[in-house]
Amino acid sequence: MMAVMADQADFIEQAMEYMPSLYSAAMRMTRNPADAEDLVQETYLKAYRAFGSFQEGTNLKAWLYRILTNSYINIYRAKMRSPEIDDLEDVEDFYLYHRLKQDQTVFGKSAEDEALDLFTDDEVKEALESLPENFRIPVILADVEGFSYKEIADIMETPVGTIMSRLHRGRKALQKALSQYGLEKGLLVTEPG
Amino acid sequence: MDKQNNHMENKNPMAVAGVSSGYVNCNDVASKIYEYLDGELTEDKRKAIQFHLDHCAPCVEVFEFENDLRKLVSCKCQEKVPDTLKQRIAAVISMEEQTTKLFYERTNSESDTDS
Repeated sequence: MMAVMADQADFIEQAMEYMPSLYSAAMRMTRNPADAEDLVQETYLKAYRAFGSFQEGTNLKAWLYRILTNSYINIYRAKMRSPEIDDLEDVEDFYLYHRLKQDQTVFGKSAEDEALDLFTDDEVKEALESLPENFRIPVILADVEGFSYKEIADIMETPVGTIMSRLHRGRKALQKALSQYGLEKGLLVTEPG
Repeated sequence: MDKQNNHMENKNPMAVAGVSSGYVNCNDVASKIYEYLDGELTEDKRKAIQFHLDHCAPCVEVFEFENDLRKLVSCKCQEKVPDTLKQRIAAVISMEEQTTKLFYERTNSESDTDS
């Protein structure tokens, strides 16, 4: 009983600080605040119940993300009944950079870096949310949360090689989605060839 | 990437500089740039890419753009947790705590009765 109580106090103390990053990830996964809140609540409840099995000294943040990701896949993907997408259109490497470079006459030299500052929060979020989840989740975990390939592989229970490939293709697709916003905003003028 | 951008010439300046980790060209850098950014390369490979970037303006421009883009994605995708969610989670955990306590108390009192 004493041990259980100690676990619970530890849990509150250690796990709550990750709520902003878990909620941010949940927003990108579910794409709406109501589902994101339910998902984070479900994650904390499951984590609380399983905290006894969490090994002290291992990565608590990664453990919480594993619960979050599993819950998302089991609850929300099932609810949406949407097919899993494993394929993405092939996009050139450094797509956005090359597009901005190509149109740099419009904005002058060194426009690429400055152009990035002109994207709004909503545009970046929507561009990320437009990716199929097999590609979106690795990009969220790597680029937003800074997890290593190995940690992402553990969180998603997927081999490292598959994660690297999805991350690479996901990042290129994100650049393509952003370049579409760039075109709408007039940062880019040339339609993709 | 093209020649007119003055990419590193096709010779091995690393040997001159005493870097033993091997020569990398612009294509090697392009194919490894994300692993470099993600901190996933071995020390030797990281040094070789770093050396190339120190000497190749066009590659460093691509690298800096990708680095900036990554930071942009990270900083634009942060959300503020609604206070209602914090309260909901605190309530759910507190309820769970009560349930666990009751369970232990009941189990203990049953074992007391048994003895």
